[in-house]
Amino acid sequence: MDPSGAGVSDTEPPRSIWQRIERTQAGRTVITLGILLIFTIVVVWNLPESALRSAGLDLVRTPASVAGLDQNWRVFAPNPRRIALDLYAIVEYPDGQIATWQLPDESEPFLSPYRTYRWRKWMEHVRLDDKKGLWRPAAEWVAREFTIGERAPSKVSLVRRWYDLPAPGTGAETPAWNEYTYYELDVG
Amino acid sequence: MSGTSQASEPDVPGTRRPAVALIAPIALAGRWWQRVMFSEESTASLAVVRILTGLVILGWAVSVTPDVSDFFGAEAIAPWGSTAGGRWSLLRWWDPPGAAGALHVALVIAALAMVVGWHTRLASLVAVVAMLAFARRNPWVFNSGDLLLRHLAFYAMLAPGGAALSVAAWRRHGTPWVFPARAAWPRRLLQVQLSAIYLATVVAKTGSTWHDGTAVGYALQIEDLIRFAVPSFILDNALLVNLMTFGTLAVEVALGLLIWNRKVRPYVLVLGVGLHLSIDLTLTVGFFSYAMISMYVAFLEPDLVERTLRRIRARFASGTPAEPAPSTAG
Repeated sequence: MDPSGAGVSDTEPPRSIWQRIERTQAGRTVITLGILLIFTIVVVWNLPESALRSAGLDLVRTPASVAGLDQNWRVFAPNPRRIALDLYAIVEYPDGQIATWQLPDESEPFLSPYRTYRWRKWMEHVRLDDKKGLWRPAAEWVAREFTIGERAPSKVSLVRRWYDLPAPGTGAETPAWNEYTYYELDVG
Repeated sequence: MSGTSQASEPDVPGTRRPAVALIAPIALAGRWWQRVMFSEESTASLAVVRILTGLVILGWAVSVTPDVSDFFGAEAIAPWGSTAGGRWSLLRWWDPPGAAGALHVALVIAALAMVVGWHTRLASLVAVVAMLAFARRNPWVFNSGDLLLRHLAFYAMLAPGGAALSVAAWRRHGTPWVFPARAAWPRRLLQVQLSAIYLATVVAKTGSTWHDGTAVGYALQIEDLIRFAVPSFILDNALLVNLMTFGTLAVEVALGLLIWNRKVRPYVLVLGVGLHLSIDLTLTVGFFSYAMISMYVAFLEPDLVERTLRRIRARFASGTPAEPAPSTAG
């Protein structure tokens, strides 16, 4: 065998089962149906919000969910966020001691962002009033993180911080952070 | 015209029956479909997509290692995802202690297997199953780039990317440097998906900040997303902010539409790479940019990719022919 691979010909008999399937009319028909299904999922899922999209999703949601082909490419859409966000938790112990939990550190800009972006994404959700279902599991998780042996926290408070971004192109100063304790969990 | 012709009449131009007139374009479309989807071409592009996808998934899997239990374990930071597809997750049916960790190890192995081309389709399937299980367990830690990685793994599962530059090729042919010809349809799927992504993101950008040209200025000020800060003299300049915003939209439209034109495609791809590298440099968006750039290879002509790979190989391995005998279909 030539190590350059020059001896491999496209005219040689098909070796793999895939190639054999692709060269039969029945195989091509099945593949065509599969391609059309995938195209339909891609097109329907990416349509603008409309009755057509809703009707189409009713048809393709299940196969798309099974295959993991559900789509969401609304990056910075319809607008990018116009506030900066932060989140931390205050952990209180029965003896009055207080500790603070913060998101994983991102001071090193080269590698750590490839880990911390997921925490930032979670933060975008867990701070929202319409996602209250995330608050308690978050506080319970913080409580577990700060439990060392028999020493467990008595209370966990989730605090959200934010400020409105100044309009770009105006040279306006960055405003101060606001903060608000939005959830408290008494740890039994 | 054609409706007046008799069955016994000879088939002369202009006298064909309506059925024939209807069948002709369908037959034409059928031939076009066969040519576009099933004509065989070098597997070089798909092999490179496979390798890049495997590397990005490997990076994704390694980077999530410290957080697997916190994100996807039994006592994670979030409850089970409530998305409609939530039930389609391996962790729904199989969730003993350590399941998330085991799935993570499987994902790392699968990514490595994709990189080296060892049981590529099976490895891609494992990657899809693992990433899908994680996404359904805790969708709140996933962004669009993570979603795209799962899609790339799905398409890799369908594609013959393991036929070239792979352990499988080495075992079969004695060298990984083979590029057997295979049907084009898996590459077409990637192309359509890529085009749809850009068109969808442009269509979704209906907000006022995209219309008044300030959107990119806002995005680059989001403190919790900043990786390397853009100098304030740029963000304070309204004209530059407008140019960046409308320029982003223009590049995304080009990537959605003009990328199908062979003449302008190279320029569009260069602009796209520039856009994604600048996003990666300035914003914390994880693996989104790398996943997109990996996908671009699907738009490179397979023959060009093959020739380029052989040239690179010849440069590093003297004595190996740079140009092969005509081995693969174009």
